[in-house]
Amino acid sequence: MVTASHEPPATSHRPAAALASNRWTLVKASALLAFLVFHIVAITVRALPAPDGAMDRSTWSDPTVQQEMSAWTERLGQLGIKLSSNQLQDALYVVAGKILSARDTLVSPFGRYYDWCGTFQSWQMFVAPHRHPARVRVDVQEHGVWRTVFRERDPNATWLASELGDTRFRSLFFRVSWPNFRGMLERIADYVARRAAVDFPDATRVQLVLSRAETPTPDEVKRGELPREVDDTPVVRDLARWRRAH
Amino acid sequence: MSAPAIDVPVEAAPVSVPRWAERLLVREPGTPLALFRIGVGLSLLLSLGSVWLHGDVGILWLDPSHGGLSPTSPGWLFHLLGGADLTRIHLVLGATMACGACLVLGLGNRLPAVIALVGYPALVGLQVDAGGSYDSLMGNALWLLVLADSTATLSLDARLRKGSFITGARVPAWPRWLVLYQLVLMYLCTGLQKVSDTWVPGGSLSAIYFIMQQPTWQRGDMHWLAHIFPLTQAATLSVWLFEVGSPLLLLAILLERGQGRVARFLRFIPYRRAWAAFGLSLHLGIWLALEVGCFPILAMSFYAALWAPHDVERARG
Repeated sequence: MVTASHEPPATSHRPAAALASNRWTLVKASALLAFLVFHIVAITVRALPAPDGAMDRSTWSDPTVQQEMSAWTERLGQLGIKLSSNQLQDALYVVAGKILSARDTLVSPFGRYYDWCGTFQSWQMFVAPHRHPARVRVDVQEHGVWRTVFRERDPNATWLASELGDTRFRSLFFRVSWPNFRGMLERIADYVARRAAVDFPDATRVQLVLSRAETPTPDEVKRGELPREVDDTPVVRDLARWRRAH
Repeated sequence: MSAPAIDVPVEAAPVSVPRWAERLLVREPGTPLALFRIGVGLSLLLSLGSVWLHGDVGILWLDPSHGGLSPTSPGWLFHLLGGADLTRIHLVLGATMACGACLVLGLGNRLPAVIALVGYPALVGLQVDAGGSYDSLMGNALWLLVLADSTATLSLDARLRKGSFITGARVPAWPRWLVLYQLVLMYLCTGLQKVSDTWVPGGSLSAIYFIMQQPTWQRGDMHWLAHIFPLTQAATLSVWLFEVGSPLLLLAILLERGQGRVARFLRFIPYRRAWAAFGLSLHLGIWLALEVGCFPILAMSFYAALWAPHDVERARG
């Protein structure tokens, strides 16, 4: 193009391929940016702290939970917030419900992304130590006498220790120590009964027991004051019934 | 002969790709993602292999009518396969573990991650009460491996494609950023949920002491910790601060390349290495003291994303 003066030309020459490449790069970058924003928002809202599993008020009667409530009642009192433990629990329950409701609203658009792409977030890990942990024990009754055949972490009672010692069984045992997992405790007892009916032909009954002890404080350990384990009500199974059924 | 030039008015043509777009599409050597892939593969083999070795496949994942523990919740995969009986469960287990091996070896690019992302949740979903956070972390790790090109190096794929297990092939960097973000997000959100009086500063700081005493998780008797209780208190405070303060890592990575006083301070500390050292020690300590499945190894796999290859080169240089 011929210009009438020494001014620079009004247009510029650019290869089409380079322009197309730049445009395609921009499209790719824009799409990637959109995906990254979507992914980060989706996993962040799902990961936000929320009291999942805490809305069953019956579990709040657990001694570990009550100890926490007492500790926080006292700490808040030192900060000038005067509440009784019951008032604190009532307030927390209301707040927990609102948090869960808000969280459920935020995550609802991303449900399929979590399900299809494995991006579910669940990070309630050791959020509070269980001060009254339970240890699972299995006893069989032979000739009228109870005998322990399995006890968690006991090298002298190792029946089914391999099966019941896997990490996933530990998760189950941790859960059944809470009252809202009573149904799972019954099912474990059924399974144990099926196995005991075969492995202990002389046994008439088997029981699954949760033995609890409050974890000793460091001072109690140093004084040698280790608390005795107290058994919850055992879950008992009549093995004759299991032998008849199988 | 070059393509003919086309006259385009200057004001109508984009001058160049914007900087943000260039940064998003940056490529880097694939070593961090390869290391992440290997760690995830090993973790998957450990997680599922443990169930198999302990003889728990038929106990945990079958319903009582077939000799299992409790009613199971078969997902769409088992419905598609015609049910969750022992044969089909072993089929899915075998396929998923084979994918874990392929991830370790770096064979099949993204395909093993895709298959494992279907198989793993299908298996652990049969008995959700017998799982833990490591299952959530595994799902996220597998999805990140679907997004990433993680077999560019340290892989059989590289050997087959380029004739060498180790290559300098460049891959998109953005999946590595997502790996790093997931790690920080996990720490932050678990820290924010540690609202027990035993965790939050100002209280007894006895959380780690009492957690170590729980018979469900401990590997052996831990009463001896009572004699070093102040150390466990320090550990409790450190862990809480580490988790709740984890977003500072992202800030540090962003700032440490700058020129100002903050950047010089972050390079002097050096913040990233200290953070990684603490985190890796935390997970090693958990692994030694507690039985929590594949979680420690899986979490440590994410640490591969902390350094870009050029950070390593710069540190060496």
